[in-house]
Amino acid sequence: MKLLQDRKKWHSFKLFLCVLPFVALVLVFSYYPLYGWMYAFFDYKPPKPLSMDDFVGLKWFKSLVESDVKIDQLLQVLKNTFAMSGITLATSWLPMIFAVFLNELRCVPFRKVVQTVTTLPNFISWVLVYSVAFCLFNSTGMANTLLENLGIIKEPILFLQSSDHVWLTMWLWLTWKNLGWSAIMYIAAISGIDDEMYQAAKVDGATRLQRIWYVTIPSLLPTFFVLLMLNIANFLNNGMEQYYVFQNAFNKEYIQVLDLYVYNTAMGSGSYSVSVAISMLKSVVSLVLLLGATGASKKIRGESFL
Amino acid sequence: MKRKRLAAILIASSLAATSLLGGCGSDGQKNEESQSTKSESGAEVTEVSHDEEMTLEIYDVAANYQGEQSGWFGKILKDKFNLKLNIIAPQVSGDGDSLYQTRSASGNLGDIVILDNSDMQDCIEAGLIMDIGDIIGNYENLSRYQEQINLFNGYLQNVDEGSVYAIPCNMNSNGPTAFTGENAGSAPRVPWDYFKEIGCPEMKTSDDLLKALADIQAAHPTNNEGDAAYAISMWKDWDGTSIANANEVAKWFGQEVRDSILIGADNSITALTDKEGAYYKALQFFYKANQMGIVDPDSATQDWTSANDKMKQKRVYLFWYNWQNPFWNSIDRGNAGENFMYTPVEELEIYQLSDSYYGDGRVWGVGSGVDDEKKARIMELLDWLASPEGLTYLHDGLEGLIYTVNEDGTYTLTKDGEVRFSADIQVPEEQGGGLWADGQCQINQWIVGSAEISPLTNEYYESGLWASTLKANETTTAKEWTEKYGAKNEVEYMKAQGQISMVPNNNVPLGSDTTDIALIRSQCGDLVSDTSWKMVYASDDAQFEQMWDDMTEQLEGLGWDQLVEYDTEKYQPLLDARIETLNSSQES
Repeated sequence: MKLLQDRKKWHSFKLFLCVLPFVALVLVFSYYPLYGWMYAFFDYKPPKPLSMDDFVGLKWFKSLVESDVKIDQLLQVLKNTFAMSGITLATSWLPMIFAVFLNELRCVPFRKVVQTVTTLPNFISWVLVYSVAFCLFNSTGMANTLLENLGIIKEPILFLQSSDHVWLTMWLWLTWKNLGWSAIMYIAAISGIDDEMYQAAKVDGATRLQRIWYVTIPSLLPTFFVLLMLNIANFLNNGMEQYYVFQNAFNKEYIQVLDLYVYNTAMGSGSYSVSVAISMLKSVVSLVLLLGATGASKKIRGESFL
Repeated sequence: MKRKRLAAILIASSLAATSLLGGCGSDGQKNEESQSTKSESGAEVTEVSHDEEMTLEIYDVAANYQGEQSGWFGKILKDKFNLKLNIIAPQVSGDGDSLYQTRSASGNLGDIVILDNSDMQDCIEAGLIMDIGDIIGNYENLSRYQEQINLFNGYLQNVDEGSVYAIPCNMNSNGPTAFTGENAGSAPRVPWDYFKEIGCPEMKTSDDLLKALADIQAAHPTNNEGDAAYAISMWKDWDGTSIANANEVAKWFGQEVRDSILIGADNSITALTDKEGAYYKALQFFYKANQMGIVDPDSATQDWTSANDKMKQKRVYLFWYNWQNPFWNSIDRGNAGENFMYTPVEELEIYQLSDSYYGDGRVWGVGSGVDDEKKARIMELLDWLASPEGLTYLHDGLEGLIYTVNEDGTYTLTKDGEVRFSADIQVPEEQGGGLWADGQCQINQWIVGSAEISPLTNEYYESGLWASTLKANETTTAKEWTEKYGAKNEVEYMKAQGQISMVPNNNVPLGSDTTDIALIRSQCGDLVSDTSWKMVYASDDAQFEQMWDDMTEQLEGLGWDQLVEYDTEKYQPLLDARIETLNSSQES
């Protein structure tokens, strides 16, 4: 009753009620699953329910590094993960530049076509991307036929079986698929830039490139940094679909990223406890990376994003 | 119950299978209600009334269809038993593993379950399966297979004497070493016209076979449409602990690959990594082929669909699985002399499992959550599915539409019947309507296999083995082949030459892996498969050897020896059973 009488308190209670569903969602879908981490400490095997008899402590964490062969394997997997995420991170400015240049195109129909064509691949599943890749690059595919007809090669090149430059080719596929989609955020941000700034720059005699450099890019940087931070948090989660469909016996050494490793070793064989153990380690590393990034941002730019 | 549900939700959300959440909750409740009546089950067959329509949930690892059984078979069930079948198919659901986990965690897998042997043992221990040992003897048709059923249940661990939890799939009563097929499971088969072109060379070793294939490929570097053709084309997506195609070819050398071990026709066990073993020989076969330039360079990157397309376009000149034949062979092509036929190679000792007299790797069971009434109706249904009438529907389809009855009581396929698996055949409205293929029994498993003799016709249920079908299928190719090799079909030839060893197909439930072993298995399996592919494409003998040696060394670090020991122990009961069968069949 007291609450109802105090108008201010009543108002904030109403606001709290508005937020409540979302808090509940976060609790249910983000915090409640953490309870599942306990599976990492049990020898869990369906269909038997968990019981304390199956408690194994840190066994699965230890089993990841119990022999030299396994350590080598894990190190190689981490190397691949860091390399491929690193390349993606190092080139994360590409969508921004793409958006800026796209925005400079004066011919609107052409701009729309480019934007649509580059956005579309995002909606194609990796399985289909692989079938396209297979059609283009198999021994009798378009690439080989073309090269043979031009007389450049005599024997077909086995592109997909090659273990050379796997990180780079994977990055190229990813960029082809994602570039247009990631640019959307920046295109939206550009349209939000105050037109007066451009007009002022024009009056000051700034050239087109100067307007890009001194107006557009600085206005996009906050967006860029937020997206960068999100990317860093996802550093270890570079997904597995892409690598799963492209993997084969010849390139596996360089293509196996952490998620794929979990799938190949644990999920496929029903070793859920091991996969939970690895994903726990992943979460911890991601948290460290995120805190590191926000710390760095605070130092460099004077503001953190958390 | 609450804890179970909690666990189910946890697993589901951690696997992101949130869509299943609703389902497992309600299953849990249902189970709770029905369990109370379970203990009252009597030993007598309950009088079954069909007044009330009942829907049975069937959890079926073999099904390729999820949902209610519809069409002509659905109508038969409805008319005869007033039953509806709701098929739950982990193969179709998208994430079969988590479906299995959520349903089993909720305590009710299904009213009827069809599981792999090893899962059945786990489910019995988890209390998900009902003991039907008290009443199964009252059912006439199921009782015909009492010997096999009892034998299988006798192998189960932690169960009472005389209890029956599982009914094997695909049993027959032809005896443990009988084999009814015309083709061996795995054997080299080559286009007959091309083989004649190079003069049907006599082949002593597998090297001779490769040479013949190389000659064929040299004469026909492309198919008729001008697409590049290779004698051998493989695919990568069926690999397990080792590469699936090499496993098949290993059978030509007298051994079968099972997980990490090789089982010989003489009931010996050696490790897969044995250099004298059949798997190594199979890899050598593919490696030598690649050296001769007759292996499709895309083999290690293409999937089954791509490889299958090539088979249908005659861009491949060697088949090994017997079910590959229909991808090219047909009556018309046979009459033109173009069918793929077995090309005898003297050295081969084909490893062939006999028909599944004891059942195959899967079993039926009744869920522990059903009440007495439901149990009676389920048992009635299962018994009917094993009856001549039920089996004729399951294996042969509808009279008039798929087959006609001859004067002597045997059957002949109709025109529609001949193409029933590939063409759209309309079922008359009064028989249920829709397409024949859609209306088939979607359970996709049989208690009794088609290699059983039907008392109605005194012929096998399998339409391919009817006298009428055999006569219709006699092609020019087959006649020429018979003339050349003096045998009715390839199995007859192999038997006459002593090339084939019939291994009794005993059905022993093998334990499922512990978590440790499962982990070792998948890590070792990846290494073996990857290395095997690299070996096929090795540049020279030295590299081939080197890769093998490196692999065996690395496998040690992953726990390979432990795995081999585990598998040897796991398969020993199966081998003991086989030896026993052989001994007793020799005595009689």
